Amino acid sequence: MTAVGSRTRHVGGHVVLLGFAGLMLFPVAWAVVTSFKPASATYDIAVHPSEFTTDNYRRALDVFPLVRLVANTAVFAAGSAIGQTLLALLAAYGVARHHFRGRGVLLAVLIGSVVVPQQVLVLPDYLLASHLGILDTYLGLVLPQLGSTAVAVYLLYQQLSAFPIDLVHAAQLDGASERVVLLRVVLPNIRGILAALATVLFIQTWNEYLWPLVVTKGIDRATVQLGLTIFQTEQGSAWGPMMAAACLSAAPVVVVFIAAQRRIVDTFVHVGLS
Amino acid sequence: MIDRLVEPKRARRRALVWCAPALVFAVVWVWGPLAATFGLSFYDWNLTTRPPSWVGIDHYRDLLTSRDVREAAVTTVVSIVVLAAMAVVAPLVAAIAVWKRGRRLTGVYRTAFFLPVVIPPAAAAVVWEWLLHPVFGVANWALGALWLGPYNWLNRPVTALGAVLAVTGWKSFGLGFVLFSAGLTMIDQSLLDAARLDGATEAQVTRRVVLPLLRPTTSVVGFMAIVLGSQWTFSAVDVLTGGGPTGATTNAFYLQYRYAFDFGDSGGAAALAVLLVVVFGALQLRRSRT
Repeated sequence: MTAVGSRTRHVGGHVVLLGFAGLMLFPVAWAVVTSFKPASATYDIAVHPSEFTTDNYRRALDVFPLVRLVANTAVFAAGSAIGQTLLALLAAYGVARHHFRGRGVLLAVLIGSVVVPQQVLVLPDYLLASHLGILDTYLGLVLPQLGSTAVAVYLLYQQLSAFPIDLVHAAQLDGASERVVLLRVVLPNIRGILAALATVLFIQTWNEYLWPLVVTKGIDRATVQLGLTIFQTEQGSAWGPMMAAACLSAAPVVVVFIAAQRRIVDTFVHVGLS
Repeated sequence: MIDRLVEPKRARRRALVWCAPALVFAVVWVWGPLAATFGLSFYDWNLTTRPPSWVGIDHYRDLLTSRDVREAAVTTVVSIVVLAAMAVVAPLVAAIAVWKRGRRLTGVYRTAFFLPVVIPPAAAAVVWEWLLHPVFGVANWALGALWLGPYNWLNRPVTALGAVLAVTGWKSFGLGFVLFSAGLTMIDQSLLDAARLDGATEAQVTRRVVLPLLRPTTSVVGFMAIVLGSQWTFSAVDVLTGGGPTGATTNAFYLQYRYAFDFGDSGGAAALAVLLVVVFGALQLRRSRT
């Protein structure tokens, strides 16, 4: 192969890859473009609007109780992410630190639920929530999520298993209890991975669709994702405002993603490869 | 960090105390409900009136002979095959291409491919509905430029399923891509150089050295495509097609949801749930053996 041929192939490869990357980004870009077009130009194919307007956002906010929906989703996502991370940290610390008979069984109960498709639990969890009288409440949204800590426990268990025991013993010589060791020795060293884990869990819960669909009624405790489908049924043909609403519902996770891209991707890889 | 200084009996008690909160939630919201589902699958119950009545294995018999279930099973299998191409094969090809010649643009590709992964599925579905709009959609405009179409994508069985899978594939491509990229960075370059020294062409190096070394990653990505893929389609189906037209986009998970919340047949829904757990649990076990 000549140098020129190799160079051409190199550039050709990038052209194909960049084209594909453009294709992947196109739906997002098109939604953003549509959301800023004036109503008269919504159906134009022009890539950049002749006139830039925020009318669609104003109209979307008029019919779309965004503040309420975002507040609901934030409580749901933050409550679940913090709760799951905390429960998983305590459990992973307990199992990683101690050796005893039955440890395998304990781990299986904590981690084995990854094989249960989430969908399968929706009906019995709904019945239980209804029995507890927490349908259409924040508790009803968050509590069932706290049962699904399998992946978080596994990830933290792996991290803590590799933690040097000498540091723990050194602290104990100074009289530190197990609780103090967790707070003063372990925690400062795994802050990064905890933050990344909580972020990924936050994104996942923010995007969650099925459980909020089942457990909430109407707009009172609805999440942004549900609000979008309510918007879709009521304003089905108003595509400009609809794209504005879709952009608003995705904006928080996209901002979080761009701010912490490396960490988030690494954590997804960790979870996937484990 | 196993602490061997703690005597075994006390170690177990302490570990249990640390695990108690997570255990309580897992038992109350996962394991208990799973057991209840198994029990409920032998009863007939419409959630409201009348107490549940015992029907034995009737639900299972009905499900295995039901046309809805058969069609949903076919849709699920088709979805899995198509998603395997879009969420496993395509990301593998892209990851190898970027790994070989990505250089300074590697970060750009990663961002572009991964962004759809974090976009809320419901928002993604709404955006795709706009792209595929029968009159004003950009997809039909592109077809028009080729003197084809316009096409009513979501109203025809084959293209409706295609649309649902396109959204799901679009959202899961990036996950496969970053997993394969991570797998590729762990490959020892000297193995590749050795093969090249022996006169292997680039294509042979890829097929005979790189792909075999990637097997563990491929199995993870494949598992995610199979088990998560058909679940991920849920919001796309619900938003884009509602399972139609004529049930063409109703996969096993969507059918299970409709049994429970649309048909009010919680016994049948429970039996279908048990079948899903058995099938997908078996797949997971097979994976962990290989």
